[in-house]
Amino acid sequence: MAEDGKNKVDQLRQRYIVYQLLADAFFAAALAALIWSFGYTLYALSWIWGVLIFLLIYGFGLLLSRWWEVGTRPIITFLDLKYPDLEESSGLVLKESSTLNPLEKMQLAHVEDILESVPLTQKQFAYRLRLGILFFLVMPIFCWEITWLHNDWRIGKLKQNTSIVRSLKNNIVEKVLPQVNAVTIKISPPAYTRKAWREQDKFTIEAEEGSMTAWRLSLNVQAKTVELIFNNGDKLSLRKAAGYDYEGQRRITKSGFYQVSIDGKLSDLYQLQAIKDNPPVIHIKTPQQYTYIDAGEVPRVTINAALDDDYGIRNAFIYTTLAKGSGEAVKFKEQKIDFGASFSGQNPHYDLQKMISLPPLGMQPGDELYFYVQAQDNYNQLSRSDVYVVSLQDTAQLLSMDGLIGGVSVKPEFFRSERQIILDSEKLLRDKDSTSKEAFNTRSNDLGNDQKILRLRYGKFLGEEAESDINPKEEQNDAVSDPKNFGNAAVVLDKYSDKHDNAEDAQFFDPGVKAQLKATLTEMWKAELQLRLYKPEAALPFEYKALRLLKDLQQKSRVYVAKTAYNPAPLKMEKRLTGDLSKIIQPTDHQIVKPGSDEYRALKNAVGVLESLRYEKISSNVYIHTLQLANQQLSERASAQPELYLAAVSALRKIISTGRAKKTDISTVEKAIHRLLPVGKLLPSASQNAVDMGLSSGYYKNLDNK
Amino acid sequence: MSWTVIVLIICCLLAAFAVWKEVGRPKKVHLALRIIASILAAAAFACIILPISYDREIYVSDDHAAVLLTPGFNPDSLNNDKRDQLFTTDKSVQKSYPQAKLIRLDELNTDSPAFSKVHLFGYGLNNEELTQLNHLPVVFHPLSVPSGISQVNWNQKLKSGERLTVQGSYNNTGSKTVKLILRGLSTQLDTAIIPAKSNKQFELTTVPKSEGRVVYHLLTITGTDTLENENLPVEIDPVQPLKILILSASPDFETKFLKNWLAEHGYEVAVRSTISKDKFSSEYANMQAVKLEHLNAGMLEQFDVVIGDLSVLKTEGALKSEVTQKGLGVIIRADTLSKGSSWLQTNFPREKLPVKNLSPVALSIRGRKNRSAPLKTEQTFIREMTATQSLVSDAQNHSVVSSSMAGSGHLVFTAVANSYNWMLAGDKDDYAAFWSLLIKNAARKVPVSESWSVAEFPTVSEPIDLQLQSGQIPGKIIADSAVIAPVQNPDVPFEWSNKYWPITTGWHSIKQNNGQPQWYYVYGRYDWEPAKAAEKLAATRHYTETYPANSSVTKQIHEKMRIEVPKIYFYLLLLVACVYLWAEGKLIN
Repeated sequence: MAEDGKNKVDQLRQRYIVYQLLADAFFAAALAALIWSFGYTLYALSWIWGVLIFLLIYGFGLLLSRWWEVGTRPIITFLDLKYPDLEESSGLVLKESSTLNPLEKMQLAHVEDILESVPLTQKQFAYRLRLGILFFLVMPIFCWEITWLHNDWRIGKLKQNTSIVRSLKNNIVEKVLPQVNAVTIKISPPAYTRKAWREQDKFTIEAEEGSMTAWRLSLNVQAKTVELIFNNGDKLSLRKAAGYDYEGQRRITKSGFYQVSIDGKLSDLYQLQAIKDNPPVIHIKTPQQYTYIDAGEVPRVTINAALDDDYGIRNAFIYTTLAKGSGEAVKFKEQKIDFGASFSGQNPHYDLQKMISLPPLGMQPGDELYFYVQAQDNYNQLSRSDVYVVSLQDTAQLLSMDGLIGGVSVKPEFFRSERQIILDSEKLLRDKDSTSKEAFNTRSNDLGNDQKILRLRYGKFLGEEAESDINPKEEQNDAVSDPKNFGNAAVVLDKYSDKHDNAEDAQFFDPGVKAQLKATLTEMWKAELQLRLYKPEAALPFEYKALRLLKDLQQKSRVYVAKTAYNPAPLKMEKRLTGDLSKIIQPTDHQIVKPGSDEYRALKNAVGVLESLRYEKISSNVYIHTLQLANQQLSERASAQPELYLAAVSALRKIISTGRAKKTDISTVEKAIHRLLPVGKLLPSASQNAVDMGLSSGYYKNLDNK
Repeated sequence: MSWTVIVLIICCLLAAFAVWKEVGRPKKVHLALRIIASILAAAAFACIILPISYDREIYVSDDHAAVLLTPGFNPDSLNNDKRDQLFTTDKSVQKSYPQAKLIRLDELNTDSPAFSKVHLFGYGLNNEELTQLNHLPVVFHPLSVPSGISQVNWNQKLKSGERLTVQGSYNNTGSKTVKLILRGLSTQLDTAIIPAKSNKQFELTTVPKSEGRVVYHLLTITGTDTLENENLPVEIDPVQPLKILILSASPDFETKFLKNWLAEHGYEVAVRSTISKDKFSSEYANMQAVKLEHLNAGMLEQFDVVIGDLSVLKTEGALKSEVTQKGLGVIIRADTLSKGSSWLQTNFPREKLPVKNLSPVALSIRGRKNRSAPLKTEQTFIREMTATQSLVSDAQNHSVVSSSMAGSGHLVFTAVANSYNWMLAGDKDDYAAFWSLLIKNAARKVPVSESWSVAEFPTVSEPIDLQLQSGQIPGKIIADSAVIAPVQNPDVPFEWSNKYWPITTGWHSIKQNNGQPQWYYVYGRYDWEPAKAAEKLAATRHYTETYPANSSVTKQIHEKMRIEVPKIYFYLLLLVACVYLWAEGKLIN
């Protein structure tokens, strides 16, 4: 009797363990699905990985919980708790019957009766299992969300590229010879592209230039020769591998097309596209193509460049050339500057930044710096940017008095003044540490005042009103307030009428000079502002700019005529003015320009034949010959650009071989021909005369006789 | 007459022979009947050969009118009282409206009492059919112009490099916009949009790339439905190089570039530039060298166009008669020196604009859609005269190239002296368009011995009129492979009309013996239906204006009409007689 109870408890235990294991399995599966879907989206893992992850999680879970170690004791406790009828004595079933006392034996008999009625399926046992199943059922929603909606997470370029290629090829419906069961093409891109090899089951190939491509054809019959014919000539015979399989390989260096020949039977034409590696593209965002650094500005340039390549960039450098001196004494110094970035990753895109301080390069005012960026990709293709120029203002020449002493000086005092302000500002900056703040500010303000006076003086040249005009009260001897002038309209008019138009008319500057003078005044305004704000260092660039503009103005008034040496041949006095032309021969030129034979003649002829094919079958050999010539031209084009012309070549071949044509074939060929043909050249031609038995010519004759 | 007599004699002999044979027969059971049958057979035979007709008086009553239904008619527009006299010539109309009686048009004139007028419903009849009505007055109940391309025209013959322009008007009665697409070589070339419920004109252009006979297509599409797919047959001929003489007052770039451009394309060019007094430099391209110092009529006759500076051309005396009599073309380049009243410049007075802006101007060259690249011209323009036509002008419509007629020749006067700047700037198309227009307008017309013209929309299984203009009496005329006989126009002696019924669509050829074949395209029955309907409407309207129904005296009240007896009766008679003779012989045995 005791055995029955023990069995029952054992069964319950087993049931409990099975439930827990199942629950673990569901949990692990849900978790594995989640992880795999992440992995699939991000790294394109295969489903096998999903299974592996599941096994790993499940095994780990089992190790942690060790359900098989659960004994009967917890089951007994559970039963005692759930069924009060057992009277806390279900443990008796586990005891050896020999060790039981009579009371216990009685109780055992009672307990076993009750145990008999206890159901095997316990709700509490399945609690975790239900949770697990729920979890497992909800998980697909998350997985779907991750795998389908987050395509943008697919940073794995490899996966992306192959998927694009796959979709592209899937669009093409290929016609395969009936002998071919299947084809496997393995494309191994060259190492520098860092792309993994891939396999495809279509004949149309799109491969990186230099890829090793291996064909493996499974036929359904034994064939003597299996060949691939490239671009109408070059042949690659496939050797027999095993059974009905044939294989061969070749490196793809250029685009074109090929076809399969099995014992002389030719297949359709298949496209062969070589993807070229482009040299790196360099885009310099800063500085500008021509940068001019005025004196007083910080002498440095920040080079901001973006480099892009198809596969990876190996290195990039800045090549600088420093031009010192002027005229014949110009000297060049070349230097190669590292960007300071690491190219060990050979990434396809780099954003590079380099700040070049000019003085350490040995650049002084008046010098010019030329630089360009050169980048090399991992296929050792070089490309370089345009040359950029940075020049520093030459203060020495600007401040020199050479031009003024030369005698052409028109208004020397003005130029000296701006120069003087610059010198004073620089001196003020030098003395900054040794003077008090108040003294510094006062001197700066005074300089501002000087600048103002200078500006007003130049303003007069432009006909601007003088300061005094703006505030008439300040004027000392006001003619209007003089009692003697009371009622003198001329004086009043003179005082209050606006006469600056006359002042402008009085100038003999041309508009260009005036514009430059105005620009000078603007710079002076800005310099004055900074001086008044006690910032002579900020005012310096404006002062220099004003001085430069003034200097330019001064140079404009000069003319330079170079000295030349010319010795005319001596005149023959006896021949002079005789008008004798007898020895002058009349030149004649005779040329025959052979118009180049029209290279598109065959295609143009084919258009007419295709047109007639829409109504009837090809009858004459002349038509077929015309189409064959056109086919030759199209094939040549197709070997260069298979993606454009290959369909037309195979359509035209079909037309030639069958002698009849489908509408779609004709239109494919016509489209290709239209793409190839150049637009007709417009040339003069004569119109035709009307046939009128000489009626109109008789009219003209009589018209003249009237 | 003699034919009738011969037939009568033969038939009488035949009857006599048959009677004699009957009489000589041994079995004489039904002799009388057999003799009658034999004579009847011979008589019927004679009647089949000879036309038998009788005269009938036809009465005309004013209210007796026929109703003729033509395609497109609306059944609701018919009044009930006319129902008994409904006719149609179109099978499809009869199918949709079985009350209408299917007849030939000429049968309308034989009915008695005669119809005083015909009510015409639908799109009407074409010219060919209207002539069959034989001046019968018509009351036309026209429909409005159908939806679709109601008018279309394009240059069916062009030289390679010329622009194909398709113009027309589209009547869109639908509520959706219609897109017109010009297709050639299965490629979309140009499109136009016609808004809903509007009648708009359209223009589609392209420069054909191929040569020879090509069919372009004009598609009309709403949404994804193709409403019409019409054929636009075009014949593109290669350009025949011309012979050109250039006379320049001094060697200059303009001449040099022009000579090189022409020579490069196979034109025969002779250039004479004055280098000093009575000293010339001569250049010849693609032609034999000839002495160019003194030009005479014989020499000028070799050339199609003379291009020259005004100062040089003025001195050439032989030029004028060659231009006015023989049709030589002259392109005159205005050099600034010249003033005067030479016959070369009277039609082209020049003006100098006072403004001193020497900025380059874009010129609009006639026949070209886009303006040319800017060219720096001297600011002289040619004032418009009544007898001149402006060929090239600037944005303000100041003419810089103008042309006029001089007898049978043409004068083209150009104020542009530096068109080579286009060549230097790489605007070869502008240069080519400019000089093509000038030379084309000036060039001597090519004499031809024959020219063919075909009426619009030749349609399969309909008679088409092929007009031949020829100086001589034409030889054998072969259309496709059939020989047809031409009819000479009594008023215009060099015009010959030829009727031909093509039985297939597509390109057909017609040629006269040892002449050049002329190709024309035959359209299908249902091509260009809206356009044909519009044409029929116009033709029928014109007919009703010429023969209005309300004119009081159109026919006599009594009219005698000769009516032919249908031959079928005589066939039947012959058959019955022969069957009797045969059956009698079998049954007696």
